[in-house]
Amino acid sequence: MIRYIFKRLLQMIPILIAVSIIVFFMVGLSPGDPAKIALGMNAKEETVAAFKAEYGLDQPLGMQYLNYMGGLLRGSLGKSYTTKQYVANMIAVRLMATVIIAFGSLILTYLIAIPLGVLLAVKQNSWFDNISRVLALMMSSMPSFWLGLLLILLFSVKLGLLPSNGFDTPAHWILPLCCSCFGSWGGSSRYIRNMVLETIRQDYIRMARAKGCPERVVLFRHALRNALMPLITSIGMNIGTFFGGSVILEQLFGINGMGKMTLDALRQKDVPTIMAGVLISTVLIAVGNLLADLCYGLVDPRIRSIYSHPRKRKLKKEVAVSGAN
Amino acid sequence: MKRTLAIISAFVIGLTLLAGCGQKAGAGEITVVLSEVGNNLDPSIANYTDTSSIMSHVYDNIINVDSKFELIAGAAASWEQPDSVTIELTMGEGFVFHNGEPMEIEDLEYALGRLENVPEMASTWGKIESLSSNGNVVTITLKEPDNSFLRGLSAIPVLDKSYCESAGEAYANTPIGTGPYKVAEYVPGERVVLQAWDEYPFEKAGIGKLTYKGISETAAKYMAVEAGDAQFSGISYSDYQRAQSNSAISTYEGPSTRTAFVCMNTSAAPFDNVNVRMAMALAYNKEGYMALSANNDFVIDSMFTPGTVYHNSSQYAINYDLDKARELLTAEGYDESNPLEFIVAGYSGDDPVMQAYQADLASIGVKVTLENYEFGTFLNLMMNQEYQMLTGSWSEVTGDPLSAAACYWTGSYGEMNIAFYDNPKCDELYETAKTSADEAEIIACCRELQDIAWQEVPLFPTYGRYADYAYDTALTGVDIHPSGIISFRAAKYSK
Repeated sequence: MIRYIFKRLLQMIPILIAVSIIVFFMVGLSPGDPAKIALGMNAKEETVAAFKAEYGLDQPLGMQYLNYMGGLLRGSLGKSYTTKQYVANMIAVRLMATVIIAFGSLILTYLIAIPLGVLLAVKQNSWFDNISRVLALMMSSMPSFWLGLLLILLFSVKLGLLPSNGFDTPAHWILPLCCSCFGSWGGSSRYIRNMVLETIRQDYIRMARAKGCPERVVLFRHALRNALMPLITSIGMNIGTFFGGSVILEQLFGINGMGKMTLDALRQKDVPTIMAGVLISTVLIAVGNLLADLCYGLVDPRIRSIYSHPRKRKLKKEVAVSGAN
Repeated sequence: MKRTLAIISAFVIGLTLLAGCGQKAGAGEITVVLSEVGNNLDPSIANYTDTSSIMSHVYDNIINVDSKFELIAGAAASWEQPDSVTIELTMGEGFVFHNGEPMEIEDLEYALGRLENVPEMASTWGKIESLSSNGNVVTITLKEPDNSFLRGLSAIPVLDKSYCESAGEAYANTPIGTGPYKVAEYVPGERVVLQAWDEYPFEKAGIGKLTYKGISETAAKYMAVEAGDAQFSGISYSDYQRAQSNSAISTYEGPSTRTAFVCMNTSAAPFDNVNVRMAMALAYNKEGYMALSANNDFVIDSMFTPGTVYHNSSQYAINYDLDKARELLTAEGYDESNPLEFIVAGYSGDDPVMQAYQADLASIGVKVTLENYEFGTFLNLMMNQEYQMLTGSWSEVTGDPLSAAACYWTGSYGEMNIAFYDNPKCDELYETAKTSADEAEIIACCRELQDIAWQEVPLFPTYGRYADYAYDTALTGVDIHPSGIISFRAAKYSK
């Protein structure tokens, strides 16, 4: 298993290099002079030239990229053109909020969607199932910025239960996380429902029931476990969505996260900040996908056995080969 | 069923308990919502209205401008201009920095001198030939006469020389000023907490703690005030109307310095032709389009700040007349067989006003394409003369008439004169306004420039905008400047 994790981490390096090249050159080749944007229209030519020299913007784009990557290897994310702050410091105050929103949304989504999906499968075609279908459609169709405003209006303005903005305490997390998860709850619960329904029609489930297994054990140990495999794939793909969606939440709830920082940097062609935002998001998404892949092993003993006993596996292979001979 | 009820009850109880963790401002503390809290508190670098608003409580500017854009005393008690290139600033008395050091003449001199090393402010420094001090008077000698220089000092705060030199770059985000508030906490991009300074030598601040937070979404800003999580915020016009029916909230509406305009690139066809430009102004229905705007706008007739002595409602101002616009275009050879076609560049997304203008132009046979660009690209097009027509807006925070006059001055190509308009008479008027020591002459020059502006129409002003604010009824004495600088120095909060 450790070998597998190490291998997957190594695979991230070419991905990061490819992402960095694409983003750096796309931003660099897009119109707009970052020096003039940072210094303002009134800046004199000599000031602009000095600024470019200071940040290496007077060099060819390829050389700028190499300089950036050189700095990155030395552990420096560079200095923002517009805020004149070290990008690492800017990230440090924002990373936690973004991680909480992205992974918190992911966890909260499936924490509610999985039992709900199982319940819907059990109550198939009941009034509860039919109402939930309509609700799921509604929940998936609601734009998150609109939903966020409704949540603020209800829980902050009308009921006075929760703070309307900020991210200082767990109380501040509730509305942004609910807003982020709301659309996914509907879709994911329907998805899980269908997976479970498909699984409970299998022969081994019928067998488990025939053996007299309690229904809870049948559902959660046998049916759900097998239904989780495609779900894990969808979780891996959803991680990027939760990261992307955090920009809207940050603007709505006044959260100091990386999404808005990167968006502002894009508007100002602030390359070091854009690069840092994109690369860190890439790493987090890749790590999230890795975690999802590792979950396959937790759910499926066959996969776990492949990675957790390399010597045993080698022995089995040798036995198989000698048997064939 | 019992289990379900128990889970729901636990969730509600948990929610209620967590709600207790939310922090509401107590007595003498308020939270102010801004669109953005900057990533740098250096007043020279982060020269944005929101940051300036915050830092106006920490620093004292060399001089100030009142709500009518008249110059009033700041850290400099008075000023004189013995000749056209000399300004003498007399330092005010009793100013003390937060570290207990009294403000010295060297600090005033340092605040001006350091601008040389701040790229964003270098254009101001470039005007200074030399600086000297004698007693409590700083003498600034300019390279050439420049009437906008003195007004520009209203954006320059006084810094503690010895602290800045010892703190280096760190001074920016751990500032020491002479204002009534000290920075207690700063999380870049998130919040700034200002604590009233007990040893402030002048009238002490009425509110103990000011917390500034950033929320970009306008409706969420208002809701923060409505929910009691914030006590003051700038709001949108639609929320302003809603706020007026809420007895727990006070509202304020006043004109801002925002000036919107339509500009044409006069250096290339088709807008190098004055009749075509005039036709464009005639086809713009200012009064008619106003209802389409989501903001509370008002029609303006000049790039100069309304209400100032420099403003001139010119007799040559062009009003909406589609028939006349069509006549002018026909006379210039544009008709159905040879339609005028051009692209309008913008950066603020779908604009219903420009869509209505497009429809009006289409009715007289003009084919207009509206293009939206990312802001950096838009700036690039503008500065490199690579556009035909554009829409934009700007704000003049100091009320300097020369900023508006520079819209027609060849010395400001790509900066203020984005129409790349070339008229020797306008250059002459600008130079006179810039260098004259006679206020009446300056006013006359500005007024004549506005007459020419409507006769030549390199750009035409469209709308000004009212700024709307919502605040807790217990909050009084807030000073809201048209430039958008909000001062709580004299404010009181009675909850």
